[in-house]
Amino acid sequence: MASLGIQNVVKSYGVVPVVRNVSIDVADGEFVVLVGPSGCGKSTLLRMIAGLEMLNSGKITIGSRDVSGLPAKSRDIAMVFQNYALYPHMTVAENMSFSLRLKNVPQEEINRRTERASKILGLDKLLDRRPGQLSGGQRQRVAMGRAIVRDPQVFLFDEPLSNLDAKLRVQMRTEIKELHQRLRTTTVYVTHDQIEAMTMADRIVVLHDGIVEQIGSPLELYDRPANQFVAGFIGSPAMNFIKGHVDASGQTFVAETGAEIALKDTPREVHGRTVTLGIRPEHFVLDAQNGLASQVIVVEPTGAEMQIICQFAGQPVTAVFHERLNVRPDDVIKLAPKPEAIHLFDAATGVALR
Amino acid sequence: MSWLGKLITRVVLWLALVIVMFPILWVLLTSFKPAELAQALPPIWDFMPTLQNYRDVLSGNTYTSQVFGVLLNHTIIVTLSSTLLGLAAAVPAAYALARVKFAGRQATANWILSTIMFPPAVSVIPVFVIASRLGLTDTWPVLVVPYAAFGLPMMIWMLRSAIKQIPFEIEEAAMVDGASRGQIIWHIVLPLLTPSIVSASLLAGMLAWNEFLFALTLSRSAIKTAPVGISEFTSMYGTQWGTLTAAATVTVAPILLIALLLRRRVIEGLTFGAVK
Amino acid sequence: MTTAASPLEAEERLTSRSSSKEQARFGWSMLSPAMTILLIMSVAPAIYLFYVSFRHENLLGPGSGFVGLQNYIRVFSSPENWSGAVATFQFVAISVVLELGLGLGLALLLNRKFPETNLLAALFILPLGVAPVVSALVFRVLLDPAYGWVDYYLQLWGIISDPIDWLGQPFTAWVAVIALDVWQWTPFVALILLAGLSGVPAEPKEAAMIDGAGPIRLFWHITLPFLRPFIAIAFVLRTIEAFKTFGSIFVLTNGGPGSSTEVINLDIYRIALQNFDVGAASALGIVFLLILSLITKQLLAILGRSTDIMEE
Ligand SMILES: Nc1ncnc2c1ncn2[C@@H]1O[C@H](COP(=O)(O)OP(=O)(O)OP(=O)(O)O)[C@@H](O)[C@H]1O
Ligand SMILES: [Mg+2]
Repeated sequence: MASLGIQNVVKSYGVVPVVRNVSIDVADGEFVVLVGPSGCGKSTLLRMIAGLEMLNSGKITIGSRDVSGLPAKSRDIAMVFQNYALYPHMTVAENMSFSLRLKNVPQEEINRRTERASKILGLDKLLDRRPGQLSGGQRQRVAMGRAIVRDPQVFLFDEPLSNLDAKLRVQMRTEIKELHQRLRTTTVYVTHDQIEAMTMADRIVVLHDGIVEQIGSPLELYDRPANQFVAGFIGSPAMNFIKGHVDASGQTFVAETGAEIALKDTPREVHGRTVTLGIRPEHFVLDAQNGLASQVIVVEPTGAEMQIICQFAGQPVTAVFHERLNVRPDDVIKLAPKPEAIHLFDAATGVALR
Repeated sequence: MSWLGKLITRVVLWLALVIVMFPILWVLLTSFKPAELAQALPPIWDFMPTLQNYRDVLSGNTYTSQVFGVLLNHTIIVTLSSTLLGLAAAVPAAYALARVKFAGRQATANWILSTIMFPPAVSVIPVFVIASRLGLTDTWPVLVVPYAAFGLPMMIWMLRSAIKQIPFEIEEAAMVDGASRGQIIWHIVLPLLTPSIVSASLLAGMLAWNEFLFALTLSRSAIKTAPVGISEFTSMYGTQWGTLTAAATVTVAPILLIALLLRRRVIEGLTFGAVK
Repeated sequence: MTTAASPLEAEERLTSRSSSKEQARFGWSMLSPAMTILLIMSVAPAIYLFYVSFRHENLLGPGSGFVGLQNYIRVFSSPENWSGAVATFQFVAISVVLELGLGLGLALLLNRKFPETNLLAALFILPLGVAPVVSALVFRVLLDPAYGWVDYYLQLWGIISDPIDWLGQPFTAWVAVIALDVWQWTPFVALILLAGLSGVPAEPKEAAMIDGAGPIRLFWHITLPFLRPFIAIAFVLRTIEAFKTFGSIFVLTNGGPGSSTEVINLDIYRIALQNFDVGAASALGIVFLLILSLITKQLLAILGRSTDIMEE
């Protein structure tokens, strides 16, 4: 196991930049998740770590070894692919032991390691099957087994769960997390599913258009998003944004429609400034006195909570309540954001103001 | 469909089968006839089957200059070596055309395919002239290399499309697992290609086994193949039907048996892999 | 791991910066054995032919030397070559059309599921495996006017009154040559098209039937479009192979009677290896090659348009 360093990595295909100057330090044993919208360069970055793509510039280190120019086979990393990429002509056992056989590891050792990995993953009974005879979840496990037996310096996962159904996805999520707690192998995990990111990561890297928007623990990203992009990307349902300005006293946010929202503890620099206000759906309360009258558009009860989409300060927003409310479309409710949970972003740059 | 339509369909099908099978069955039948009955008209249908024709053919008791068994051996040698040579050249070429990016790749692939139009009757002239000058006539390479060339475009195209159907991620997984390019081809690509390799080899083998023009022109005795030998059964002293058909049977039977057993693979080969 | 880069790693570092140059080098080195064989058997002969076509080159006689366009003038002024060209196109056109037509019919019949169709389809592969020399010899023997079974049974059934010397008259010799090719290759076409037919999905067919389409419109609008790539493959491969036909005609008629079935391939062979006039044969070969490469270009374009096998 080792730490992983990514320093000023740049990659473009032709003239199209895909990864622009990305730097991430992953500590030994850490579980880092790369998230970002489709096409933002997550896979490209991961494949550069694996040695499947070459860098244009920058440096990748594993431990103290600069691996930037090394081919995949010499990097001592293991990767789990989105489509698993199992060897169709090999049995489960052969799939898992392929790397060891290439290295001429003694047969005894191979058996020992394959057995251990298959026990961990519950594959003991399937060792003689071919990938074609396995279910999606089982294939996924074999792909992980192939990585585990190697005991590599770094694990890489590229959206390993995206081909599984919802239920299996949740189950495998837990299993991967448990596995990591057990093996403590440095891991980089790519997903575009922010729930996966929040639940699994020690730290999350939010990538957008080939740029790192923010690196931090899941709660840091949730509580203190560095900018409007991260704020909108992390959290589900997504944060609501309302355009407007802060009045000169800093006490009140005035939406473009003229609706007023009370603020608390605003820094001096925002007083009088044009901003975007962000408020998470779960941070609304019903406030008969100070709330803004909002007309309900859609009510979506999920059982555990209620999602209400309503017209608030001139635009539709989503609000989530854990108590059951007796509201129907076209009802008017009095909605107020919790002042301490309000985020303000610069209207032009999107940078968080706090 | 009406019962009449069904009946007509089946009658036509069986008729087609009779036409297709008749020459083949005639060869088989005649090869077991005693020599004196072979040419009799009206055709004699009930006779004591004899293996005499086969004995004559394989022991050299015919009017031809060489024992037919020897010619068969030559055919086997030429077929196996040209197919293996073709395969050894085709697999890396197909891999390069499917997986390696370089300028001129598609043009090269198209050029390789277009070489199938080169008529052997044209290419045989220079090969003959140069082989004569170099004293290579009647040596193995003058048949093995051309036969490998005849099969190559088909082999390369077939294997290329088969390689393209292997998800590249599987090869990448092997790279990450520590395999070199050579190891990937050997441990991953080749095993996954087996069916296509069988198809391609079958077709190349059939081409080589049945080839006539080059063998006729470039072989004398040391490498003379069975098709040339068979053609001599008629030209020397009139036709001996018995030995001719026996020789034809031993020449054709192995191919037909393989074709029957591996039908799918043969058709895949004949169509350059376009029909799986 | 804190080890410094080993020499081995340093070397890999160099090779793995896989610049496009290195990719190209790797690609060409992988291609080189195949390219060598193909160059030896196509480009090299073509260059040699081209060179010799401007020379007087007689394998036996003396006095080889540069003669300018004389060989070409002889090639174009020889009526035998013109008739050879006509014979070639006649042979290709008639046999390919017959094979495609009969093959399509056979495939459609085989596509009806009777208990015996699988067996029949299996047996139909046999002609493709028979060496053309063998099938030509068998046809020759069967068509023999004195001992052949064909004349005997045709007389017995009263279809003809006197034996026909099939290979002795131009028209019947053509019938024999075409029949041989059709016998050998129609099943090939049928099997390709049968594979295509088995891929025609049932749903559009059923939908069209519900819409009241008759069997002919069904075939025309549903089946045929699905068959198109398969027809293209069969057409292209058969055409190219038909232009290359040598052995079967050589053995069956040897171009006769006279030179009535002498296709270009036989013509070239005779000029080069029986008259030993390599110069003239080369000139004819070059002209034939040029025409063929134009035709092949068109054929491959058809293949590219109707199938995806040419795609990158
Ligand atoms: N081989 C390539 N050639 C050119 N452009 C490429 C290539 N591979 C990827 N790209 C481009 O690079 C960008 C990043 O691709 P990448 O696969 O890294 O995205 P991603 O973040 O993994 O997206 P997803 O979540 O959809 O998997 C995309 O815009 C893609 O179109
Ligand atoms: Mg991706």
